[in-house]
Amino acid sequence: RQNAHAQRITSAKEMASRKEGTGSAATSSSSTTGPAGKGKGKGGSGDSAVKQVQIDGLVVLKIIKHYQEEGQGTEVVQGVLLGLVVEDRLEITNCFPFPQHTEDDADFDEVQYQMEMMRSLRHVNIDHLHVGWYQSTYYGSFVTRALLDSQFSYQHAIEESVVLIYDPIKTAQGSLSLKAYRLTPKLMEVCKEKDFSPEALKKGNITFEHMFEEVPIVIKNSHLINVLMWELEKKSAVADKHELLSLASSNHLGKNLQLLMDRVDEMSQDIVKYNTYMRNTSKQQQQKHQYQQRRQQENMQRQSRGEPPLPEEDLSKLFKPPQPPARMDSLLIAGQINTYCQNIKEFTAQNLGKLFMAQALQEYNN
Amino acid sequence: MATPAAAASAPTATPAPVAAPAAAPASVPAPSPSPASAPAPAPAPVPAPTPAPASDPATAAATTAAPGQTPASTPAPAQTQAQSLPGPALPGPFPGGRVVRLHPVILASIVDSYERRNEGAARVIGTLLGTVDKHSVEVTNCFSVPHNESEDEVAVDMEFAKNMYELHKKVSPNELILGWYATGHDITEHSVLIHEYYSREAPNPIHLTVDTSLQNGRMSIKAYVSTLMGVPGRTMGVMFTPLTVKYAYYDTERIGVDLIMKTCFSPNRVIGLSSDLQQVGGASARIQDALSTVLQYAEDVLSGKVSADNTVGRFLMSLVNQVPKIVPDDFETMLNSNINVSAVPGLLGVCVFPHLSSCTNAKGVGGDDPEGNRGGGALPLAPCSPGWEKGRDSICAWRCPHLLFLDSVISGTADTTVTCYLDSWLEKMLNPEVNEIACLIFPI
Repeated sequence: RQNAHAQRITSAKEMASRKEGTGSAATSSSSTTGPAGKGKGKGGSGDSAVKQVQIDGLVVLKIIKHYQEEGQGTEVVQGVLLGLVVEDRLEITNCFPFPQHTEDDADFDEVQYQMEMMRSLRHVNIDHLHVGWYQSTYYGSFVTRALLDSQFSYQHAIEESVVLIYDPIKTAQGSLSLKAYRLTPKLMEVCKEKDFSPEALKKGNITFEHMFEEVPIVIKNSHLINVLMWELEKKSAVADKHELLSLASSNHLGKNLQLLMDRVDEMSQDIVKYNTYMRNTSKQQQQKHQYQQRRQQENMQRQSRGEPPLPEEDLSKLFKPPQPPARMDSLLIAGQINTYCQNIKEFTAQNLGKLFMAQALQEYNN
Repeated sequence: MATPAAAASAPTATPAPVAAPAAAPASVPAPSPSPASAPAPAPAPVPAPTPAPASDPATAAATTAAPGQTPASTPAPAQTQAQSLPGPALPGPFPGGRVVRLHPVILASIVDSYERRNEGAARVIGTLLGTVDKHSVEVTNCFSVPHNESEDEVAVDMEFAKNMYELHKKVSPNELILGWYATGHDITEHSVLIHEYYSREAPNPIHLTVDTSLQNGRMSIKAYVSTLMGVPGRTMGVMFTPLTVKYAYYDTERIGVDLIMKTCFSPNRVIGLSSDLQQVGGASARIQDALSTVLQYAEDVLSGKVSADNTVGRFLMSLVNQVPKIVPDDFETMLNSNINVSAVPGLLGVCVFPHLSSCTNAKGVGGDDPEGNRGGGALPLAPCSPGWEKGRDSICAWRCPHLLFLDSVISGTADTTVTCYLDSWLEKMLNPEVNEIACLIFPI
């Protein structure tokens, strides 16, 4: 999948650069040559290029529809976001879905699909700038290596790209759950080096809180779409189902906790591995130390006997240092646990509110 | 709704015409013989059995191959005709009931392409995709197609339309071409031509109009299917008969639309996504509104302002009866257990964080790092078998079969704070007979 994403980015860049001359806004050039560093006032390393994401209502509806029709169970559906960048705001004006990865059409050329789609959309004046991608998620489990890699390649090629995470199960419970994430500049640095050893992470001072940053989303509609909304409201009196106020929650909560527990299990295994590594390293240090001491003693003895000292041997060859485990996985797991906890917090806050309301009503009844 | 009379036609003969009912307020009469300039591509395979007039230049824009149907007519001959057409096959005559179900995403898409139209274009057109079933036709997707329209001629890029359809099919293989849409108020002559092009793609295409010019202050959305009319043996005309339009929503779509609709109320048409309790507040406000409407109605009926309606009364009765009557004590227990169910995981979320953040802090992971320095305040994790081994100044973790829990030491002191979860708690949640929660939470 990472290859697919990388391909998508390069193709997007090609397309955009080819249409450079006919590009509409100046911002288009700056967003596609992001890495070249346009003078847009990017600020220090702590500053992020995108402060807000503005999404058209149409995009929201399309994402919802795509999942509804093509997503089942734990499969994720993905798609491409199109739009443009206006100052520090990323505007997403359209999107199109990506076919799911099925084994039977291995000859399906993703890059070509994308190129054709974007070319065709350009013909009908839809923004053809690739500004990110979206993905659905299952109970909030999206912090994976694949996502990280994909988002890294996107952000590397296109500075302002975001990934939109759509949670259909949470949405079905009453309120739209759509979040936009980017990698922090710190994490971008680390990923560029491709060095995930403990030392590098320590140097970069990365904890799981600094991996992803969430960008606030606003939804904007044009006037005509507003007219359409009024029209729809008048014509289609669909009864409100009020799922948001439903008190039956243990299923959802149970699922979340289950996933959380799995992650914590993984985390503990990971930590065991790290501990072993640490122990091995320190044991090795001791051994080295002892060896050196023995050497010295021997040499002293030899000197006292008048024999030539033994040659110094390369300690590093004798004692091969154990391989430090890559820490990226544990970071990811921690990030995922973080997300689960956030979800649970939100969910239980709502639940508590509802329960207290129910209690108040009951008291009133009595 | 106007309905034409039966129009079953034999496959090869020229379509037996219909006597259009007098009451039909159909939109377009027989178009004037405008010179139809075909667009550059458009080699749509004209099926052999279709009546020849379709390609006859003399009656060029006049006839379409697809006769309309009423539910009452005998579907058999028309069915054979439909089946003989290649490409996406709608099962026979237009589904009885003649209902078109639209998803809101279609309309939003149409409006959006209208806003992005080329300069000088008065309207945009595009293809409708969706599925057909016995009772209705459901339109689930659409894309716009570039076209040029002037006084005398119209050119539609059918090649583009085909390509886009292929691309869309890769994502949703079940979608068929159902017809086409156009913005604007009227059905024009050019519409007939375009409709003919589309009838080569799909038998019995639907035509949808969305009035973006907001005539009469409304954005009217109408759907049509075409029928033939005229005097048999002479020039045939085409009539567009309206269909019922219904709106179909998936649950999540409805929630999405509700949210998007809120931009109507905000001054710059921008809304943010609200937080958890705000949402509950909003939902309760809505219920409150609904309840006050109901109360108002009840009072009106009581005071005689509105005449009583039995059906409504029965609904209200069942509504009131739905409120469960629970003995207060039972309610208390239920409430408390539910609060536990909610609160404990909430605490979990709050307490697990600080542990984890120090766990995965590169400095603090795994106890002593090679130089023998302790990491920052909290050190996790030497997992061991059930039961725990405590040590001063050390970490301990009690690994229960399901959930690892962490505890940490405030460095330097011997205080071990144990945050012990949730194994038994989880058991209790799943199995209400278990009475004890062996769950002690000492926050740090």
